[in-house]
Amino acid sequence: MSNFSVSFRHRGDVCVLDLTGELDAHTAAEFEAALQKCVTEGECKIVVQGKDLQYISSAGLGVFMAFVEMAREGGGDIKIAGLQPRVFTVFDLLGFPLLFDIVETEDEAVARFNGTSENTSADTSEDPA
Amino acid sequence: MPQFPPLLAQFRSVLPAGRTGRIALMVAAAVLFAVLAVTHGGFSLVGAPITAFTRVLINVGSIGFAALLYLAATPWFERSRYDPLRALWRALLMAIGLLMVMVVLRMFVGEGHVNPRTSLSGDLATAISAIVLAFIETFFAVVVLHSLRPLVLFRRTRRTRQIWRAMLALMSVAALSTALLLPTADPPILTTLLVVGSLVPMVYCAFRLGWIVPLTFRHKLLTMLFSAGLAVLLGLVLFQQFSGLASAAGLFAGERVPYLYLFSRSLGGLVVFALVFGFLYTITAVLSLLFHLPTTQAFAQQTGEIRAFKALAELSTEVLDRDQLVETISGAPVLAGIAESAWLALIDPASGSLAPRVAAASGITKQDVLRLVAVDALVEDVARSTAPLLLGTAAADHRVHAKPRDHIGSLAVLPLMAGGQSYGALFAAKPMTDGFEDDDVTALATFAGQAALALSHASLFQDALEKERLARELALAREVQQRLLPQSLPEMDGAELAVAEHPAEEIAGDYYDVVDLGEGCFGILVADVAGKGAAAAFYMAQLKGIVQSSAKLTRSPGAFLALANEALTPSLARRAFISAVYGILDTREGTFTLARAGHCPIVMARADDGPWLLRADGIGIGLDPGPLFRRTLHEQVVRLVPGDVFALYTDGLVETRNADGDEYGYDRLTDAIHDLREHSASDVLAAILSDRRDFAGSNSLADDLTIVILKWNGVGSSAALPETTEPFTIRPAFA
Repeated sequence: MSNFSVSFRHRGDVCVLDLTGELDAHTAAEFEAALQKCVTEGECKIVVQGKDLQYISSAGLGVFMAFVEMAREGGGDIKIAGLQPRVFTVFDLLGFPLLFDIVETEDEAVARFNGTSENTSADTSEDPA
Repeated sequence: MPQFPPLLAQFRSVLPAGRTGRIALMVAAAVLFAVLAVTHGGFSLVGAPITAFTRVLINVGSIGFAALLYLAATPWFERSRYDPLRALWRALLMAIGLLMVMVVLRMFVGEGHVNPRTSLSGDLATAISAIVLAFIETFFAVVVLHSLRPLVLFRRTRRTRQIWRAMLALMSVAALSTALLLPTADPPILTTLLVVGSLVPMVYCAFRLGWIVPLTFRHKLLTMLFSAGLAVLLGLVLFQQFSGLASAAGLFAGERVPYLYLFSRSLGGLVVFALVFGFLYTITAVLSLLFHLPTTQAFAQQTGEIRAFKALAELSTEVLDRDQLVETISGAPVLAGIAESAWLALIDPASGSLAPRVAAASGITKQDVLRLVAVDALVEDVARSTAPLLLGTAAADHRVHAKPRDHIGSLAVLPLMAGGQSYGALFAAKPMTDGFEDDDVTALATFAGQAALALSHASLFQDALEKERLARELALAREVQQRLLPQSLPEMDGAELAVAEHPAEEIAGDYYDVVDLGEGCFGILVADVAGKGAAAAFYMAQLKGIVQSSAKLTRSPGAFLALANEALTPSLARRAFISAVYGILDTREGTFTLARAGHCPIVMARADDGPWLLRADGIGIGLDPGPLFRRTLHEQVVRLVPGDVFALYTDGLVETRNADGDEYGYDRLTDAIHDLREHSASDVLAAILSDRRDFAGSNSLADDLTIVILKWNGVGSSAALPETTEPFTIRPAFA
């Protein structure tokens, strides 16, 4: 039934979550469990690879909100990479680009952790123009 | 006046009732018989002929004695539970006894003699034989009638009872019609007619054999044997009347007279009729039993089912309570008389243990069950084989540790299977070995099957009850939620509104409101609480409160949204947020000022321009406690032109998907609004809803859907506004 999956990869100390399929109210728990696992294991530098994410609902967006603070308190962040335009629109309408680092590619997201890892707060990284 | 037994039987209620009544009847019968005996003995010894009047008196008195005896015996026979086998056995023994009395009398008294002059007993010995046989044979006839009566009246109707009484009445009348006759005289034509007449109800009663069908095979066999025995003995008794032991040497050489006829011709007739009926009935019973034997197996299964269903019908009303259900199940085999004790061992995975538990026991204590029987092993056995297990000699099985005094001679273990799942086993025990007949096991197995279903239903019922409760609460929540939405839309000068709100499930996460802010201004809010369900409903109720308390405080949609954000953020769960769009229509100024908090952009269509998606910046409510929200929030002011159409909606509309997984999307929506811009608000709404339906291919909703269409018909006052060609301007909500 569920056409959503999430898998883990590591790039250095960055944990990459590959999301595939549709993230909605029913599949959100799976994504939540994955993020919970990262955070409890102290892996707070998280990149969510969304190039294969077909759809996200508000419940899916809620999961990002639930964990971003924990990740930041743990010295990391949740960065979002590779979103398809249609999915990006959903993030964008809600104002997520003001709260999260949303970048074009996974490489860029990982690079941001390695380069300017102390300066990832949404408040400073984006300028509401 | 002679008293006919059937008449008395009809008026039995006026007879002395109870123990005293019974004794009174017996005493009356005894006194009457003593008088008759003395009369007979006296006249016989004196050797004087008796007058016709005396003869009639004696005959009527004798019939009266038979009637009294029949009535006196009635309560005695009705007192104990009727059992055909016992009744037939009793009659059988009594017939043997009667024959033995006849033999003894013949041995000690010898051949009787009839006085040809008086047509009474010729000597004392004959008189004694006549008196003794009159008493015993009347008694025997009464016993036969009472033994067969419950069989004839099995599943009786009013009619059956009337026919039985008619039979007794006709017998008595036919007997009385001979009251004037000498013992040896041929009966008159009237008597023959009455005898033929009484044969009709006799034959009818003789074919009342419905009681045979439900008997078990063993019972049928025994009943047949007893009936056949009784038929033979009755035939023998009848034969002895006329040419054997119970007759005396006749008036003329070779002719023999029954002793009974010497005593009373009428009583003799009555006894003969009763015995003939008994003979007839036992013969039809034997034949019927013979024919029913082969169908017993099929019927036994049916009766087993009927018994099981009956027991379950009784427990179906108690199915609500599982504890009561298990008690009833364990009690049913005992109540039905199939077993002396029964218990129920249930596997209840919910208890966290896979070991069966003795849930209920009947006729035995749970402690004794655990002490005497290895329930676990037996349950496992039948659960694996899914077939009943019958231990004819329970003590011989290593899983039973019962001694004879423990009353577990034979044990039947029936698996409780329903829907391929094992619920445990039903145990039934009898004190004797080989106590269970095949049809008992069939009945028990059928019952166990039904019981397993009842158990599974009980748990399903509990689940259903829970679901039902939830459904009721959801319906209630929906009702409450529905009342949070505007019950009517305000009248607006120069503008029309049309609204549709369709929840995907009982509790929606969508919310809209239209508020009259005074001075021609109206606030229009559309919001979407992330997620659905109860939490969403609570946030929605909170939002409603904020709208009611704060909407009128400001003419700035941005200010209102910021207020809502600050009020709601502390109480929203970390992952919860609300997207909203709030527009204030100023019908006097001809402006529509919008602020968007993370919500879908507003579609705007104009007669000769557009369409546009209005999406001024603004993040969702609940994502930020305040500063960022305020800093990013922008307002968009539209200078209205007559004919402008706006669509405020939730993502349920644009995210509607068709079978191919394509989304309805913003392009299709804006094009549709643009095409419909010349129509009224309600027409636009209807057209959009049907377009969405056409696209989705069904009416069903994956997400809540709310659409508000606003159409501006008023006189545009854009001319009075600062000179600009832009249809709208965007400005920070908090400069």
